[in-house]
Amino acid sequence: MTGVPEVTETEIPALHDRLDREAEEGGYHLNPDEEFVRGLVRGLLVNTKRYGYMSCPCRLAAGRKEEDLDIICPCDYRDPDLEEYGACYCALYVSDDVLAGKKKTGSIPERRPPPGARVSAVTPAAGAAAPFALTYPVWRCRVCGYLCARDEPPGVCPVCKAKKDRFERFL
Amino acid sequence: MTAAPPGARVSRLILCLLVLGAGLALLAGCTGTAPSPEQGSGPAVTTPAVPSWVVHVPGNDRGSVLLVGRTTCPWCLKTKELLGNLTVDYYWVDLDTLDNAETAEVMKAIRVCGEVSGVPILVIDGEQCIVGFQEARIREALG
Ligand code: SF4
Repeated sequence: MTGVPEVTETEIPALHDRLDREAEEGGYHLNPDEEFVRGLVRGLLVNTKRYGYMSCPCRLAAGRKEEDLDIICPCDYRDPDLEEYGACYCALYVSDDVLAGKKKTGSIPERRPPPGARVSAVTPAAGAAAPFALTYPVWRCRVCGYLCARDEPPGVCPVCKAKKDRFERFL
Repeated sequence: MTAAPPGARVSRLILCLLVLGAGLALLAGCTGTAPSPEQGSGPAVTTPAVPSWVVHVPGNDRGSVLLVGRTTCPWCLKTKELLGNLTVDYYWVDLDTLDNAETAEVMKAIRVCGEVSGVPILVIDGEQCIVGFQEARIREALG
């Protein structure tokens, strides 16, 4: 057996506040159930200490970043799940309707494909052929779909705060 | 859910022991309780040792129930609470507390679920698999 990394009482509200601020800035919302979110934030902190990255608290992690890139929070599946079910798999994030009490959500089906069917998170998707000459390559954030045309993807997605390694070459 | 007749439980246990290693047999959904002398007339069977990293929560027998979770997942806690409210006898293991060999054993035991990624994973009688805190399905299967 292996131990579970310690999380201090001050770390949880610090990460919670950052996630809440970043979510609201990007048009997302944390689940209003504070006790439940506290458990998830603690899980994110444990995973960060254990793996060095914020792996999803409710999914099995390989412990190797290349294999877990798609489930680093916020995961590649958050936005489609918010759209379809009003919450991400863990229910850390909820939609406007759920926040406003117009829609209920609970445990939802897992959208992550089995390993063989996952789009490689290591190699960026081969860019589609552009119908015209591009001055810059176009990069797409795999988490929220933000597109930008520049030599390199940004260090952090300005919309969802996903890191540079979550971008793929789009065009 | 009706309990399997004693004879069937013994056969299932024997089959599991033949097919799988002793510790793994339990996790793969074989009963962990040795049949008492009055249960059936089959041959005496040694109960497989429960690995120390598997927690047994005593309760009412609704078949063999294995809950695989992570310490980081609040849905797993909700599932444990529900199983507690339903007074189900079950075994649970938090995958993120296991070493590689232990993890590999559990992964074999949950093969029946296919290539799952999300937790909680509930394996009932080694054949039925419920992924996620699906309260209605869990109640239907174990309530
Ligand atoms: S956004 Fe994805 S990784 Fe983050 S908590 Fe929700 S399901 Fe898990």
